[in-house]
Amino acid sequence: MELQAPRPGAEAARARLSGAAELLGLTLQRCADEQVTGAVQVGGEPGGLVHLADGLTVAVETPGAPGVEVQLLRSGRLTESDWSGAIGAIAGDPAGAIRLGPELISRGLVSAAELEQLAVAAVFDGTFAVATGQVIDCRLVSTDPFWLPAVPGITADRLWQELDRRRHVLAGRREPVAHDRDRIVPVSWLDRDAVTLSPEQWNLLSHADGRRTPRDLAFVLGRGVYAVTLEIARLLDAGLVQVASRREVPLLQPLPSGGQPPARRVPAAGDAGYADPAYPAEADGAERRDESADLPRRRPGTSGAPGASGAPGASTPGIAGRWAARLPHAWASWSSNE
Amino acid sequence: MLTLDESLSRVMRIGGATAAAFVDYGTGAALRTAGDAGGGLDLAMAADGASSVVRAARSSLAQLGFANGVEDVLVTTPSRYHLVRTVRDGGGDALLLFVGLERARANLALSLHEIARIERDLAS
Repeated sequence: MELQAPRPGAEAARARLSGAAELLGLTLQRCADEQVTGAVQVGGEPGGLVHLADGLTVAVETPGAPGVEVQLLRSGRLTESDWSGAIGAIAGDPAGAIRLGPELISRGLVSAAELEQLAVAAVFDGTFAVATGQVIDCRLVSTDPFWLPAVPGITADRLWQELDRRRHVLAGRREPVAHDRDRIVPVSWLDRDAVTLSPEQWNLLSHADGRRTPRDLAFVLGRGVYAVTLEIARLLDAGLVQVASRREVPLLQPLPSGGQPPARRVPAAGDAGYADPAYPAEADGAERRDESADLPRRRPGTSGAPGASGAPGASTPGIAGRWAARLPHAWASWSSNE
Repeated sequence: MLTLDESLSRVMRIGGATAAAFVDYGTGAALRTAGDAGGGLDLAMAADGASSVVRAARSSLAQLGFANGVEDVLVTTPSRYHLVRTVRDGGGDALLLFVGLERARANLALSLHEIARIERDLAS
């Protein structure tokens, strides 16, 4: 029914995360071979739901990266009333999800080219966020068609080629930056005559407050996590920002089996997904907020608490290979459920 | 209103065109690609390069005090033209079009003219 990795030993787990990401890669490759339509639910941090149509990835829903609708709204391309108007026009239509894109275009709110750029870029970005986090298990689930998909979708090969390129680019930076952990702040004193900034660099600097990670900044500004992380790496190189502190990400254990995919939400302006991630609960006191900044946030709702199931703690080398070996068996279980 | 793939098909019908790609400026990712078969051109790498070249041009222009955006950058080698166009200037999230042309077969002025027409159709 599911692929379950052995519980990673805490100290060595980070080193094996790339192996965990390969589990997702293998799963998507398998879905491509069998032209699956549905979704791969990825358990982990941030985890997510990879939507597939005929084996091609059309959308990635994850709390680890802003989706197309967040990018449209937070970047100011669309106002909330534009968005609610378009949502209202398709409400109640069973095929509403796939009509949202054409609706936005016909209202002149966004061009088809821009929407396609955003949708494809969001697929790459969501995959980056999921695959560079903790991947614990992957299961095939059936879902409704996703809002604002990339049409046509992206092949598994191309998705992984792009992911490798991004990992390579970030690993090659002089000042490495962890997009989900490093809290960024401008340096307090600049010892030089003049600085030239691009508008996007200015926007990053003015929102980097020492609490927000690159991922948080991506949500605030409505941009891709990778694009923001790369820009932050450039600003680090230029000596304009520094890492204020590092968020600890707790290591997760496999989720309880039999979990349901997250319920489909109608993305509505002003819902919790648009809250500033570095300030998750405005009503809470300052101390509580400090604490909550260290917790994993925006995890898909219904997956259950991490750590509730105790998988054997055995951890041996060659872990990725073992997961790979388990894939065909697990796949057979999925297929028989179809 | 054209899709990105439809636009690329039209770009590939331009005389001398061997490869084309829409590139996400902020990430250097090739969003859609066409051609390159046999040419040995790695379009993923070309896309990354296109983004870097435009970034360098923007940065130099900003330091020189020119406010206007970069419309295109042309990199010419003995056998090829590599043209990068800013299709949609969305600041950090601009959409770029990369086109590889064989110099022996391409007419640069005509190619630019046709690409401008395709961009208009894409935006309309």
